[in-house]
Amino acid sequence: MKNNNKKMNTDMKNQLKTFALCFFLLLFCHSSLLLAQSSPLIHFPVSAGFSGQDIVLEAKFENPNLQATYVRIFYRVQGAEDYQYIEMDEETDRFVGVIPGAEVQSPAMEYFLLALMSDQSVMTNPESNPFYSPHYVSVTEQVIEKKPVEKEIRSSGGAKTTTLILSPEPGEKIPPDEFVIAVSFISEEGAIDEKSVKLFLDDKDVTASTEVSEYIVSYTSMSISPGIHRVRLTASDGDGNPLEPLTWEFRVASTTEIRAVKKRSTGLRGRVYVDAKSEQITNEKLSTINSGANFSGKYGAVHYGGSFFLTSREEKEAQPRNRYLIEAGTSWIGMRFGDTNPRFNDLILWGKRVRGIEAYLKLGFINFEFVQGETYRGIDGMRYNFQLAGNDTIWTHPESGDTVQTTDGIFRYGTYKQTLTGLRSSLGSGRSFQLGINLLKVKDDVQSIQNGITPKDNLVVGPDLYMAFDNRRIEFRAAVAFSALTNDISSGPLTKAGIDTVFDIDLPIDPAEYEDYLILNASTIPLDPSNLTSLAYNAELKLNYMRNDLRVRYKSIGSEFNSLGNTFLRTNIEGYSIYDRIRLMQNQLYLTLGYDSFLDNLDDEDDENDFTEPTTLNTFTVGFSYYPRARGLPKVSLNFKDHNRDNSLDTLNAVGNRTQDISVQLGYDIQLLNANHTLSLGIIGSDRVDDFMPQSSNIANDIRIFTLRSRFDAPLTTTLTFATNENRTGEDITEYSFKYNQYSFNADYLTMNNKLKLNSGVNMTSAIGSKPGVNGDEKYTDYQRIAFNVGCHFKITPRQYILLDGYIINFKEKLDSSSYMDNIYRARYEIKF
Amino acid sequence: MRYDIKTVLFILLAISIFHSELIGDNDKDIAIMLKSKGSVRVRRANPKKWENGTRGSRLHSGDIIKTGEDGLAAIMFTDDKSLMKVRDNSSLAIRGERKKATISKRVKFALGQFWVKVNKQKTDLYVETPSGIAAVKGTEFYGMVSSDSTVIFGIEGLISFKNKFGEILIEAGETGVADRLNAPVIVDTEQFRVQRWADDDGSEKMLEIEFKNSEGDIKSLKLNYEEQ
Repeated sequence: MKNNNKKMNTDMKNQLKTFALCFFLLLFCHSSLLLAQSSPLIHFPVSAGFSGQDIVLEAKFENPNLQATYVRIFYRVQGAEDYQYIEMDEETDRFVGVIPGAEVQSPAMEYFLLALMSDQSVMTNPESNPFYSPHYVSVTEQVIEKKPVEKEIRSSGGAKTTTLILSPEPGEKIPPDEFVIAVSFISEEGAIDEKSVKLFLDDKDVTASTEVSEYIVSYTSMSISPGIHRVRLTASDGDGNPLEPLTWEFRVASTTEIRAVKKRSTGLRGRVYVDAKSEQITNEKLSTINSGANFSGKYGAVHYGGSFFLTSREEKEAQPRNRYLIEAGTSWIGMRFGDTNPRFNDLILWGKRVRGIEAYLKLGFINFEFVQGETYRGIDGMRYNFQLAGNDTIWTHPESGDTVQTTDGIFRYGTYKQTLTGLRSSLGSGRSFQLGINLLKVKDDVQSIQNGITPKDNLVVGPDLYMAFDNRRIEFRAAVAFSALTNDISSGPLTKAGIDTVFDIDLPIDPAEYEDYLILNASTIPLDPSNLTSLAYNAELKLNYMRNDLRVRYKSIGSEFNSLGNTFLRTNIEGYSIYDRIRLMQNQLYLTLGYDSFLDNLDDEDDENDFTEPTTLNTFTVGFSYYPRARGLPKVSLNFKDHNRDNSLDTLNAVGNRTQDISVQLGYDIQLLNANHTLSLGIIGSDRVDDFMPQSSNIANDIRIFTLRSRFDAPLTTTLTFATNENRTGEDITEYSFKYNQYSFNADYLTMNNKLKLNSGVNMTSAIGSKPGVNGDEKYTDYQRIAFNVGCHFKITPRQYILLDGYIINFKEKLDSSSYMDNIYRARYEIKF
Repeated sequence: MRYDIKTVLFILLAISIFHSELIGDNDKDIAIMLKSKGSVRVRRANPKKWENGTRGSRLHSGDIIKTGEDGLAAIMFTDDKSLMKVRDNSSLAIRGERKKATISKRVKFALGQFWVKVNKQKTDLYVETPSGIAAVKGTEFYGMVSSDSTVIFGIEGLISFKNKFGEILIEAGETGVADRLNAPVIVDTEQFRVQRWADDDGSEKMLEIEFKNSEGDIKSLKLNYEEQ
């Protein structure tokens, strides 16, 4: 049976090779068509952000008929080894996700979106090479100067008064619902003329809403946006001589930060929600009900918590969508049961979902972390139907009944149940020193399904080190890992006798005796560990001195390094990166400089094959952000990135392309017609020129986004957006283009003492795609989509709300005159406790 | 004669109004409410009427503050940023008198739980309860007040705690208890735990104490300041 399986696998490998070759040729001939047409995950990238603040991302499918199992944001700090992900929430007609502010760090974040569709296909944005050429968000470190709360100010006439800033203090971070500006005057009589007092918040004169007495000036507002705000207070003395202005800055915490703080707080708290969605898309109806809850609390030193998410879209034939977690512990001992995302280090185990148990014992001088559970559930594949006709076997498709040709009889391969076990022990608390050793074992359960392919067994081991000095202004991290992966354990381990027979090697041990640790056979990599091809290591040094935030990183990941605890790790690469973020002009100007130099496809270097060589990847990054404190000046962020890939060949395997990315972000706050307006303009351009395959690999993107957000006192907030994305692939006679325009207008209105928020909007999109034709360019798509939405968010109590919204969408394809009318309705109820 | 009495009464009334206005100016804006969550009501001293205590409300001498079942209020004095946080089901009156650059502060705390932090002390802050008076010589302490007894737990510095039967000094980490019939005593705090769940930004802290009173009974005290 095993021999049959092996033969089947060998045949299959040959078939796969043939298929891959055909696919490559097909792709080569038609890739521009595929690239031009396959842009269904629409997303306008964010190019600038602030450290500690959420980055909110939105995406939607060009074709609303598409059903996604999930849409995820994969993100990382620039220069980090690999990505973490969060799932985007499905809203009525879009997906919305947030990169948590707590993880947004300078000099930049990188991200891409990945959608797994219900047919198991994958879509990404950016479409091309998302792992290695993700979207780039320049992140500005926000530094607020700490000033004393008490200050003596003088007028030109000599009068003096002492001011005491009561709230918020300079540099203080406050939740939005605790926002009060209050300044106390401690002065002799007549030192201040009350009528001369003026208060400015972010350069907006708010004196009319300010309460002024001879002792205090105070101002509050029901709504204030997250981020840094600036207060300026001016006044004159009794003789009309102006006093020295009082200015300071404070920060309003984002929702994520508030949640993080609340999570740390005591007592039981949490939320329960149920969300129902009904949609009719091209006469097909789909209803989804999601429900969830999470809670956390503390009892003495013990913190506890849990969460669950249940969806009507959970299927046994797919990986789990439901999530469960319950946890309890103290600062030194604890356990989690359910779906956890453990992390040891970024070479070995880094955020992989594990359904099982996670435990820790942290004594400070010595610590242990343990995790065991299932990473994939077993889902069996499907076989073709067959019947015997004489000596022949006739295979038929299980769904269509069509006769097919097959060598292994499997229509669709299944997924083995996979279990992960990890153990980390370390010395030191991790505040300034920690030395750890990690062990990870991941194995597919061969017996879990009948129709699968290449079940795997993986073992990874390695130490890591962390050291910090001078109040963490110097940080050093390093990790080393060695892996062994057996790509196919279906035939079991080789025995000592088998090796002797096949390879004529008399091993001193019998590998079969060690199969509990790792199954060793001919598919094990590395076969020869002495080549160190499955060794990975990295080191990083961070220095924070003299307004410089300097990071130097080196990594080397062997071509055969594999950790199934971190499958997103880029292997077969080595090199270094240097980034520096410099704060200038009293933290108003931020300059970023970066340089990466890597060697990709390392194993081509020593393969004694002149047709393949490693590819050099050089990236130069420069950017500046200007956030002036002076009134009336725009905020500007400009970033430029230049990538070069070259393997010094000019043969069929030659690689030589250059990509230049540029992004400009402008923000301008103005007051007009008794309202605050924020005008923002984003221009993002990307141009890849390939020296060898311009017909298929040249890609150019031109994205422009204009947004006007207006806050009226009514209280009404309107948002007007115009965005366009022009995409071109190929060159000359193979050039395809796709142009997408979006116009939208949305309004939110608060009423009933801020309990009811009504929202409404219209969103119009149009897209034209064209490709080369016999008589010049011809369109392959030309459609228009208009969506109207209306909804409300009603706070039943401060901790309880209901949300209702609906969309009506009209779609018209001009080329074939087809059209349809869709509708989507959603209701959500949530209660917090 | 009758006319004379009227005249005298009128003059007395006028003097009284003038005087009260004068005092009122001196006692205005002695504190400001920085935080108000749930049910927080303020009864103004002049004119005497109840209103909602909201974020940014100015507080004057003689104002009474009551918090409901879900109430929480943070009150800051305007001369030195002394901060008092008041939990649910509490009742207190604040009094203050301006003296040049300072305010002489006195809080009459009838019922409930509070936390006080004095950043920079220019004058004494007195907290009067039905069973004793705490004079702040330190910077931070918790209190739990009922009609029969008052419990004070020192976090930093010294608190003078006295009633007509005696006086004690409570140091950081010590718990003092007073009732209406006995002098305040330092109780044997068997076990206590202070969990600073907020950053050092002067915001809330949580305290759990188990202590043995003078009669040997073990009692527990939980003082929680949570985000509401």
